[in-house]
Amino acid sequence: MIGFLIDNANDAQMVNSINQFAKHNLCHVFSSALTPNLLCNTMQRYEAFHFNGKIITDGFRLSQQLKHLGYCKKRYYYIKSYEWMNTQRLPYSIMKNTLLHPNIELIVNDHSQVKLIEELTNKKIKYVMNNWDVNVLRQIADE
Amino acid sequence: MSVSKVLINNKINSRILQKTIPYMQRMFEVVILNQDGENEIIKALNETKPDVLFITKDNWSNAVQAYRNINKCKVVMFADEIVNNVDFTITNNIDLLSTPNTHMDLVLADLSVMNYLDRDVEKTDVSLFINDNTDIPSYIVDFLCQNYNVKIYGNKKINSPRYLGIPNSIEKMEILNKSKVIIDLGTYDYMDAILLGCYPVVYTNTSIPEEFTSFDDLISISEAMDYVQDESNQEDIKNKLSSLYGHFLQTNNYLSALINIFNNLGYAEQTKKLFEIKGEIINDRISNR
Repeated sequence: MIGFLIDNANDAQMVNSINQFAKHNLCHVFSSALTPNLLCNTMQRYEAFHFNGKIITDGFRLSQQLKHLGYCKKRYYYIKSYEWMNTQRLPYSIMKNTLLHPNIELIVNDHSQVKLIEELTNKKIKYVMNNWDVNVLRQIADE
Repeated sequence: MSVSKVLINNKINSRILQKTIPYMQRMFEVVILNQDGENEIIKALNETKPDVLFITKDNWSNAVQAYRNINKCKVVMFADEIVNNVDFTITNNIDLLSTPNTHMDLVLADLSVMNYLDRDVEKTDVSLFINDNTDIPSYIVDFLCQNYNVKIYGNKKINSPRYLGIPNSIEKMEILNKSKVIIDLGTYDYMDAILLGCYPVVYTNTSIPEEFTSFDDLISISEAMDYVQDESNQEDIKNKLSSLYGHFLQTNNYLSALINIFNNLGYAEQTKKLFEIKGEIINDRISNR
């Protein structure tokens, strides 16, 4: 069972992949925004605290919630872009609790990101998932 | 002759005082004066009757001088010149460098950093701290970001994914513990790094001891990075680090400077006690090495 912790459903490719994935797999979406185009169980973001499956987020801000999700089997931060570069003031503690946190596993969007992220985090990249590739989502669900 | 009480004007902006008050507190009563008007100082002198007084030149009034003469109190002054009847001077004036009974208030190693040493952490990283007041050409930082596996920290934001944010002082110790090399861009982090077993590469164009690896342009930084990353140089680096470690542990630290001050003031008992404190720190480290 996979949970998606998302800001909104504005990313068409993400919506498409989640909808495809949901046809044959159990999944939940946790979001504070209305997501009428997502054809699966959608709940408020705070409901993720009770979720006991594998959870994925692609937002740097949302990834700060991951370490607090005590019941999750696995927590994945899907790095599509280097969002931490956009913050005005970045305390190191935020990086420690997200990208560098030992209980948060990492997914990158492209093979070109692997070297940099592995060097920065001293962690192995778990998956390379191009644009919410539904096949990779299935691999994550099956692992 | 011994000390039982020390009065310190808290307005003194001195590195050595900031770093050594805890050591002094282990030996005698330290009274910190938060207001430094003449009346407040006289009142504090009469109430506390200190044996040693740490003041600024502005505090050197006739009343304070009279107190010093009557009570045989020793005076340590933070000043840019030598003042008559002052027993010891702490200064930022480089012209007084070799003057007797004077301490240059330079950045020194702080032995308390070694309390944060964590031997269980594997040293893998090459870290770089950069602050708003770091005076270094930005192309050197860009060059390091683009060509080497470095992690950048500090309150000056760098436009690179390798910038990992602003650490607090405890987090900085964590970072140094997991770093095998630190690139010091003039932040004086090399001393903490050495005490935590991390080899420094220092940005400078002046002559420094040969144990350091230094750079001042793109060619020398790439040579320095190649040197520290080459596996065949690791034994050499380990020896250099060990030599630097011994140097900062034995001499170039705030505690040794404080010992020097009390020795110059003629307080043999306090000097001995400070040597014992230093010995405890060193023995503690050696037994854990």
